[in-house]
Amino acid sequence: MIRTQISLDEKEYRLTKKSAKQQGISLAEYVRRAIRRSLSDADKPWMKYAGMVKSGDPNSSENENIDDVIYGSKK
Amino acid sequence: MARRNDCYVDTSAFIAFVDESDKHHRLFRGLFAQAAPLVTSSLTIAEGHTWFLRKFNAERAGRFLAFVRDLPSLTIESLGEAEISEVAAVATKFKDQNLTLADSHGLAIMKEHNVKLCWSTDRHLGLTGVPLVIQHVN
Repeated sequence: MIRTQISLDEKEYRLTKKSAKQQGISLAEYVRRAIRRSLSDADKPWMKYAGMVKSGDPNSSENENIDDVIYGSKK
Repeated sequence: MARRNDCYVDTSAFIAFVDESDKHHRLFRGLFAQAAPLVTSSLTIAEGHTWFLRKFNAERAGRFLAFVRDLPSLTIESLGEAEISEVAAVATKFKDQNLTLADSHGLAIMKEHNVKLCWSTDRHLGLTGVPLVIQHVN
């Protein structure tokens, strides 16, 4: 492996560190995985939309939540 | 006309793919990366677009349409006069489930095209026996 150095702003660093910790991996491994994913998706233009929003809701794709957003709650 | 055995994509699959916070995001990210032949309903696209409009804004809704346009092998089936009877029959058959028109159209499309796997987190899309992809991996 080739050793290199990158600079992140404070917020990016904090969020990256937190996300890596949640996944049980080091910050370096997190960055390596992100780079691998980005390179493997390079010839797939539609993949740039993966995770284009972050709603904060882990149940975002549940049917009831989607229907509530689109059609509103049943009265 | 969709190719037979394409996977059907429901609104929930699109949302899980675009929303990094969703618990199924990783699964659908991997699935969409495969560029498999897919089929969906124009009503599903309308639902996805409305989801972005209501939850975010018109700019994000436009980006959703750009994503749909960029998908390499997605067939979008329209609901027109010719399909209304079949879709109404599905809605009537499952009237106790309060299906949306998009769900009923999706079930009709899956039947017509002999779809073997549905990309959805919504159990309604499994009413006719087509397995949901989340059941396959869990």
